[in-house]
Amino acid sequence: MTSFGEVRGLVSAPDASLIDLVDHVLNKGVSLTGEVVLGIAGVDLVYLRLSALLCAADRLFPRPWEDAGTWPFQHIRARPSARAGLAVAPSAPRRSTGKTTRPGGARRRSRGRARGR
Amino acid sequence: VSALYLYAVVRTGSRRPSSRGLLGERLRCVACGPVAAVVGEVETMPALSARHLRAHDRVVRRLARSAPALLPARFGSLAADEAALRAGLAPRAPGLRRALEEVRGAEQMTLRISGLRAAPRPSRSGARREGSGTEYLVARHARRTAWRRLPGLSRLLAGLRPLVRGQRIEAAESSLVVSVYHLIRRGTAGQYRAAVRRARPLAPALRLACSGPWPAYAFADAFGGADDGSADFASRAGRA
Repeated sequence: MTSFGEVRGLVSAPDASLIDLVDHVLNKGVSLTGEVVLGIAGVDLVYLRLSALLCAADRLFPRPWEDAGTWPFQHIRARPSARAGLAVAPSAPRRSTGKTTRPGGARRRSRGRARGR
Repeated sequence: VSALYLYAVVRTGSRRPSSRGLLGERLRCVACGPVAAVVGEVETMPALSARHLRAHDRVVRRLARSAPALLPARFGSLAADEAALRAGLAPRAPGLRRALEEVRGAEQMTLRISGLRAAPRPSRSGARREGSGTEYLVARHARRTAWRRLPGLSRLLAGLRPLVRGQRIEAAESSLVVSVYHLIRRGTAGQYRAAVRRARPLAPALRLACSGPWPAYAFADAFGGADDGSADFASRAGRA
């Protein structure tokens, strides 16, 4: 079983062509069932997919979020996947960035404003 | 206990593969209506590693050299036996057959485009006004379609159009990178790269990274395949 750390090392490798390989070979192509891939990898591939793309960005371009200190994990929470039943890898370290894209978050902020008036 | 590891989908009647799989196993074709799966029988599942990803890609590329139309399989697609393989492919066979026609004689180039920082983003005051579901959805839609407003992107893509047979675009909602997958005629990758170099001045604010040629990974599920409705935006040529 591949550990999360190994996968993170894979997508973080200093090799842009490897990142493209990860994106194409793991994220594209005909698949019989997604669950098989998930079981084999031992990690949530939605997470892996996000990491791959974000790592590709990191290899090619400067990081505008460098000061966030939690790259790339804060982006995972900000973009929940629409793939049914697939959640963010539980072992992914997270730290609150004070931002949320969930409707609930907007609702809470709205209540806060109402109280302040 | 062995299982069938899927490498690619080709037309039924394609030449029997002479190469070996990523674990050295012999390859064979399993027909399922108009399409056939190129598989290898494996005893253990290859671990997810850079070595195996490269090996998988090498096998697919070797197969593509002898098959004018080939849809690569995603790493790690397994079927318990031929019956399970056919059961997995049968519902998709018509779409896969159309996809095979689409990629016949073609290969894929990939462009990673960055420049979203230059695109308009919701202001902080606007974010504070988000109180209703409609406003939330409108703001989210704006983020998802931010890539369309990349300065010069449409000019850049128009400059490449003469070489492009098919196009898919993926832009994650919060990602800074837009991925453009182009289907081009086999053997024209050099012309494509030259066209990218020529078109680059049309979009000076964008940063580009071009890779390829690849087997048509990004087009394998484009036509009735395993579209999972993910949050990514995807489109074909003419709709981008």
